[in-house]
Amino acid sequence: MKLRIILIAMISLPVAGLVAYVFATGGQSNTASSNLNVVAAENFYGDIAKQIGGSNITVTSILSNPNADPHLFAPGTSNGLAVATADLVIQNGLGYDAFMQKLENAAPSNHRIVVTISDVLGFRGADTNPHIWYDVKKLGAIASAIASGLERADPAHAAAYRAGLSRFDASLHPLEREIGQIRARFAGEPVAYTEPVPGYLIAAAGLQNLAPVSFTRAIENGSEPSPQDVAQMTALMTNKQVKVLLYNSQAVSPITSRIRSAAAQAGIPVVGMSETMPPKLTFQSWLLDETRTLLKALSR
Amino acid sequence: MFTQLLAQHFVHTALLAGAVVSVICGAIGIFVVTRGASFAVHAISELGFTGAAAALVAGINPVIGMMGGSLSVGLVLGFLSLRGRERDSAIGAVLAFGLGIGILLLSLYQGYATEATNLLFGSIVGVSDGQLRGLAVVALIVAVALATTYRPLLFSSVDPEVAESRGVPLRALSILIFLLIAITTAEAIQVVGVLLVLTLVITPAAAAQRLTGRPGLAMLLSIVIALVSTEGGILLSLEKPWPTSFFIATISFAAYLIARVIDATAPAVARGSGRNKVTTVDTPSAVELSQD
Repeated sequence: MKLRIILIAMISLPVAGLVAYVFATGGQSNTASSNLNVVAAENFYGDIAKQIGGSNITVTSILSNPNADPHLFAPGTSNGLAVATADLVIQNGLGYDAFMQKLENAAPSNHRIVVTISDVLGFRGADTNPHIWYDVKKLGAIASAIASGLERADPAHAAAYRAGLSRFDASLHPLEREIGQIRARFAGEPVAYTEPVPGYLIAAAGLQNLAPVSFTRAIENGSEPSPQDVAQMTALMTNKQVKVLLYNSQAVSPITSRIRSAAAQAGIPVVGMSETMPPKLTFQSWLLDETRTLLKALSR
Repeated sequence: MFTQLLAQHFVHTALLAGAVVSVICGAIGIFVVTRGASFAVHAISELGFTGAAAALVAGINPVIGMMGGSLSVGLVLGFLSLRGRERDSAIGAVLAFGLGIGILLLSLYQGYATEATNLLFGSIVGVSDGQLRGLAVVALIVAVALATTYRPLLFSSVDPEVAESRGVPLRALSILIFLLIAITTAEAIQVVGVLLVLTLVITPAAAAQRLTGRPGLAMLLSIVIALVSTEGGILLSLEKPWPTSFFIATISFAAYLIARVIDATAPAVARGSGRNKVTTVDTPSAVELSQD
């Protein structure tokens, strides 16, 4: 009996000590640098913020792994800390980064400013394609939403942020020209994507997606597409009904790989469209690269 | 990083939520292990996921759907009050069908199912003050229900045949305990996720039962092991940014292994009459039980 009591005490005392320590050290204010702390749920918004804010801000991006599927992301303690200590949070919304809401609720703050891009741009509804950063026509509005968030969080550097915004806007011109070229030469041409990531870009370029919505949604949500959808998608490839297959390498399944090889066999060019920004690229160069590759593939 | 994290409100909330959930998981775990209902807990948690998918389609909060899914499966299993081999296969059949419905629901959902898939992994760092209060209230209800029906519940779990012959209402108790298991499971899902529920509901109790034959003491030990695992797991994930649920699962599994070692090496006499199982119910008299 005595032994057991000692045993219980041995296990429970350290825990009690740790918990006591936790609350004894609680309430410490955190000593941040003089820079504005910006947390972006996705690395492409983080990159835009960095380009606009420059050396006045420190940016932490949460979704940044180019090989991981953002739909299966579970936040950890370092993400919680980033959001808890942020002055400005930039998130996509539309359920794409639902974990951000949780992290914000778990760490209440009276000075944190949250910019939800989809809200600023007026996107609504559960069935709205959330990949709005591919909406080439709205990139200016996205950048200005981020810039005005920076201005509100740090009015002292407002002029610098406005200058950063005009620089960013000017840097979008090559991308807009490229999209314009596709539109001029290939408007109405049929293409297909495995997942609705480039949906807005395709629309802006005047191309027509033939992939069934139920197929792309199943791939997106990691569920199982119906045999009819798979058959329809495969037929698009084998019958050469589309000019290009746009492929998301961050949400793959045996089914998307099969569609991809069917496209390759039929001689249909496959163009990668990644969900988050690959490292070492800027937002503009990322979309520009993909658009150029798409234009080349269409010209074949 | 560690001390900076310890100062954060969301970490305090996580530690408190972890403590609340651990206490009821550790307590209810004793009944789960005694009844051999581990598979039922697994089914309840997986079908909580189906409930979350249904909630998404209906446009309501997936956590409420998850609770609903868990509770309805708990209710069915409790009502069936199955025993032995029959229960094992019946749960398997129900689980498979439920997951099939879950897949259909996900394919019907017109939006992006991240809120449902997030439940698979748990998100202890995203617990709000309101959620913590909810967890505490639910835990209190489970604790009160367990405390008031402790003896008949234990009796019917340890030796259903004898309990039945003494007039214990087996089916009513079965429904009660499975509802409590379902509520507890739904709470644990919010901490460790659907995939790792067993790490809090089974492992601590299984370890505790290796250490003592007395149910009261086993419950206390089980609660302590669950607490050490959860709080220790959260604290470790502050130091190393790996998933919290991984650390929790590791610590509780280590406790289980240690308990097995102690059980295998200690002389049987030292542990009283019990070997690996709760056998010594402080036998309640039939009169006492029928009054409940």
